[in-house]
Amino acid sequence: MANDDIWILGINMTKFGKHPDKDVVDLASEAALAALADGGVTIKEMGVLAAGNLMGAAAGIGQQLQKQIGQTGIPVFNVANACATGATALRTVIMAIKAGECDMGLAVGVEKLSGAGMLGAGFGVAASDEWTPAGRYGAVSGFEGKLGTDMMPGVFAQVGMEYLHQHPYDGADFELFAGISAKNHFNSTMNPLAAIQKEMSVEQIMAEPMIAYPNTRAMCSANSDGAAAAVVVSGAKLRTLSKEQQKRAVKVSASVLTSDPYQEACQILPDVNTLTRIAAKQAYELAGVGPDDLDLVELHDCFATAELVHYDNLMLCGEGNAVDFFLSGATTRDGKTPVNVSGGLESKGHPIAATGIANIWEICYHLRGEAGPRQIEGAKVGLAHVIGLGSACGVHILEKSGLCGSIVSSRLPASERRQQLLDTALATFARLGYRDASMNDIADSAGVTKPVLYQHFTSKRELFLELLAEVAVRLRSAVRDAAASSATDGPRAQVEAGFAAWFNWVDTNRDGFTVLFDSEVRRDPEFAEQAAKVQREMADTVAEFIVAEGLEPERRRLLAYGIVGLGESTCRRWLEKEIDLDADELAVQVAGLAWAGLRGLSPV
Amino acid sequence: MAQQIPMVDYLVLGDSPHLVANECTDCGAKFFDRRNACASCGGTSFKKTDIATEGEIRSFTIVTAFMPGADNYVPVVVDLGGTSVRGQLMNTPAEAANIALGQKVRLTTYSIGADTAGTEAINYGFEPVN
Repeated sequence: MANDDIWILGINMTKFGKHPDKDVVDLASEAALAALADGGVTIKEMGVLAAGNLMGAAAGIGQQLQKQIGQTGIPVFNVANACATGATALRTVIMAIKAGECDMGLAVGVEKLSGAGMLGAGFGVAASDEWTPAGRYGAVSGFEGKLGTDMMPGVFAQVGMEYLHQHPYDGADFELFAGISAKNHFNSTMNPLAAIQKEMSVEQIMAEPMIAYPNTRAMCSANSDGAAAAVVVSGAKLRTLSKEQQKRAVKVSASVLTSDPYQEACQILPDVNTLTRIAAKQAYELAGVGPDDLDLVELHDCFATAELVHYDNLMLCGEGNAVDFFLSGATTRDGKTPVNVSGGLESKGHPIAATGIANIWEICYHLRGEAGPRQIEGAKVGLAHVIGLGSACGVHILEKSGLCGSIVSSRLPASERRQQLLDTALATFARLGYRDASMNDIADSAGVTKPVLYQHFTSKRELFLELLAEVAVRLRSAVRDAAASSATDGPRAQVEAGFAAWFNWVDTNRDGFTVLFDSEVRRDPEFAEQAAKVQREMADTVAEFIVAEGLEPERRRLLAYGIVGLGESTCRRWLEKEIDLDADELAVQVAGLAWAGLRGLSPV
Repeated sequence: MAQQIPMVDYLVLGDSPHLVANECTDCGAKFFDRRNACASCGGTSFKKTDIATEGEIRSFTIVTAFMPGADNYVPVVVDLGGTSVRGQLMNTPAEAANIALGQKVRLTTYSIGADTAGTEAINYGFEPVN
């Protein structure tokens, strides 16, 4: 199965915008060479090339690119899949590697679009002196302006308005969509590769020229020039590369491409929803993550109206809840699920075939922790989505490399792996608390994927319970062993040795103490039971040392609990540095107090 | 009366103009274009089905016309008794304040002009039902 894991080794996007002095081959070469350099490899190591340039689909951009950067004789796939062309190139390379045809490949998307104007496939009908029915609809004239619109701004405007028909919104629709655009334009101010870097208020956006209600010019993706390229590698090959390459590699946990299944009305108004939802579902299943695990999302906001529906389609929010989700601020860069922190297509630009790789570049940039001022802190999992009208949908889920650890240690035997996961979980729970620590956090710290973690533990609760039991056993046996080994020195020495063992254990296992005696743990009956068990058994051990003549066993137990409590609360203060003693000195003091108290006891 | 020809062949003219779909006899999916087979079930047998002429606006946009002298237009998707069709909203100012999602509309026809032989091409659109 090792060959099944797929990684992005190197990736690059050019600046998007106007490049009047470069042609598509220049731009494609720039991105491809930079992606190879980023991955620390050369064109000679590539086993497959997939390339797309939608506007020049017949020209064979792949071979044109090879003629500039290296004609190595490898198979070339020139792909065209509307706005999903870049994602399709990437998917093609991934499929070739998954099929075992090669272990490394290059995917490239490039477009020159600046000044192209509005895009849309009209039903062109040849001008004639006489009305002549033509085409599949027997039309005597073009549809545009007579039977709706095929211009993209209008098509996607209707996609957004349809959502508001299905899920009625009482507020102002124009302002709502402008708000989405304002978020993305704000994000672009941190992205020097964006075509347009300009913060715009909702009012400014609404005052821009109307293109197709409710999309004003600022709410439409900017036609621009640009390219993006990615080097894909198999896990097996990656393991043979340098630590640095392994560390920067980004895991492709899911790569999905769908087309639109038949739905009523899908041939009337393109249905961009069903195929996105299906792709997202498949991707979440493949990756073993859910929408809540996503630290950032780059989705296809070719128009502001499109972004709204994809919140729902990608299941970032509950069904029908996209408006509230957006209005809650969830998709801002500080929100629960930051969306389009690159600025999105509305400001970053949309050189069609480059888009489906550029959005993956953005995710990798954050997962590698290299995104500078616009870094989403601690990003571990991201999703990239594109829609090509017609339709094609690409969804990729990417995960931060578990550093070299995940690769090197992935061959641990099961029992060792389980112990490693328990140790990591202990540290994670101690740091974040039971409630805030997620399975993702634990998997990530352990350098494994979440499915691996779930192979060992079916839930966070099960993992935590096992952890508590294990910690409890370790603490109990430390105390009992110490007491037993000093049995010949008399009861006082035993009490002292027991405390010393306890405090020393806590000193070296602070995470264990924190987790076991955490107040959060005590509120949960099942967890509290584990903590109580430890106290009970410690008390039983202590009770054996209470040798005052004639004491009833029940009273001995009672006193033992008191002594254990004494030790525990002292421990807590000591850990919080209110007491400055080493563990042995502390043991002498506490044992002295306990012993003095015990000595004064008389049978009552 | 001058000769007439429909803008598209799924528009039936006459006393009660209406749209007609190719309905798959296997699964009931309806299409307005010439068919090779059914996109829903793969069936290859179709029958003609008349489509209702009244329905409601499922979605709309207002396209700004940039050609000098051209008017803005209002593409709509209309649900005609469970079958969606595309068209344009007529006899309504092309302003968002005058158009509502869910608004009731009905099919209407109009001439888009005559050719050199004097044949008029007739298109359909939708107008509000008051």
